[in-house]
Amino acid sequence: MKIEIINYTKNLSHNCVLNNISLTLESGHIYGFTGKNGSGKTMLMRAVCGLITPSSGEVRIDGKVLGRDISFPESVGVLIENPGFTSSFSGFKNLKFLAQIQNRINDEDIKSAMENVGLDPEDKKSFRKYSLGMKQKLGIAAAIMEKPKLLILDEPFNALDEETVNKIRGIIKSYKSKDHIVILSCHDRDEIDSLCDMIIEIKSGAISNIIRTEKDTAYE
Amino acid sequence: MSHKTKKLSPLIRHDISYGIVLRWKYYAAALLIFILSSFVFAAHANHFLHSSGLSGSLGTFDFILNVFAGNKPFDASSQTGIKLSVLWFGFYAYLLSLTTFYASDDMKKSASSFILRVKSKVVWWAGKFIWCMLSVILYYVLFVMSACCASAAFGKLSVLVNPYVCSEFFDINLHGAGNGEIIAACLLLPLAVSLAVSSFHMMLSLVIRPVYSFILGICFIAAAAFRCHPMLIFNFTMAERNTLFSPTSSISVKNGLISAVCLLLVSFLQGRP
Repeated sequence: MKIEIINYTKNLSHNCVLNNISLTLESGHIYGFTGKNGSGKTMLMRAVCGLITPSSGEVRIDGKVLGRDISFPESVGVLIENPGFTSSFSGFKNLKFLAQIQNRINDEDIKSAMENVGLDPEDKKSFRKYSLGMKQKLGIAAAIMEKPKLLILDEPFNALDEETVNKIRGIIKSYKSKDHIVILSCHDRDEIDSLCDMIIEIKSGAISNIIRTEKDTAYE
Repeated sequence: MSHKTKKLSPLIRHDISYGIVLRWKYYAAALLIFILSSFVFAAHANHFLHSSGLSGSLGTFDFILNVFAGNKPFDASSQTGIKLSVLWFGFYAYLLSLTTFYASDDMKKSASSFILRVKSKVVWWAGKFIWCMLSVILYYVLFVMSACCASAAFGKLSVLVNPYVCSEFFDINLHGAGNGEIIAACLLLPLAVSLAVSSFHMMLSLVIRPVYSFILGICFIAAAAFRCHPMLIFNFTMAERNTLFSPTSSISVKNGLISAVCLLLVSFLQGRP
């Protein structure tokens, strides 16, 4: 998979939230976006997903232009901002609703994803009673359960205990294969340094710096 | 079944679960209000019939007209002001409160997850549109059920309208209108307009702030109460202003249905996020 962001600009209410961004992302790598709050990291992630349309420029996925040739990436798992689920349903039931749309996975896959992030799939507790950390875990489970080729995680480690952070690190590293791309954002510089092959620093909607780390190999 | 239709059905199931089943309290409250208003109307109407020595009993459409009769437009030359039909106003205001906010609320919460899986914003919007239609129809089913139960309890379960009650309570002269015409003017037309207006304001809530869309809807309802004009679509929901009962009026079933269909199409086509 190859994602090309070409001269991407997005204006919202007379503000330029993404300013002429050009970037190429390839399979087998983990990319980290860093920057202050409001710098444009989440907007850029939304642009790659196809959730927003550009004011100018384009995103190409394997040569196909988002919004013209395809509406959205074929295989994508996303955790962006606060994951929204039905508050009266249990975690498993929420994920099952989502899984039924594409019908690619079964109940066992859903349970496996929940266990991988440290949630009990048999827990009947409704989503409204979840702690912040549990809600975050469920959002990550929703993003990974269908084993997407493109995984986008916005601040995945928020509100997580150390044990779960280790689990999520392991999941992210397991995605580093020739077929997958991982994009994540994190305020913890050490975390990003240890996980990512390339760190893209974003400032005021533009790329201010790109750092290639020692782990920049095609695939392990 | 096409690829996109297959993805629509889990969306609709989600919207029915989340937008109707889990919000059952709002529909239950509406049913309770319908029943209470029917009780009050039945008490007044039966007292009138009894004290006037008039024959006949209340029919189902008397209870329906209790809400959909509406009121006369504002007459600046008269000294009486406007007698706003609270039931009519409340019926549509409550319906708008049920439907306006759902799509925009979903947009903030789980829409991204669903849109990325169905791979189409149009399919997501179609799901919301269908949800809106189902919600409005359910609201009307509850209303008609309460009217049927009330007429069975306090009068007669029939589509007949009591002409004395009509004349006294709703200022409507039936002019020998047939049952089919009464059903079309007093039930189907308000339903069609409700479907159109609910979907329009739900669409508008994706463009402007949802609360502004709701307030705009309330303003349209109030404006229609004051002025009889086919451009104010809520006029078509008032039986008193229909050409069937008020021959000089321009509020006809045909115009109303055309307006409703046009508004529905505009709402659907403009609603894609």
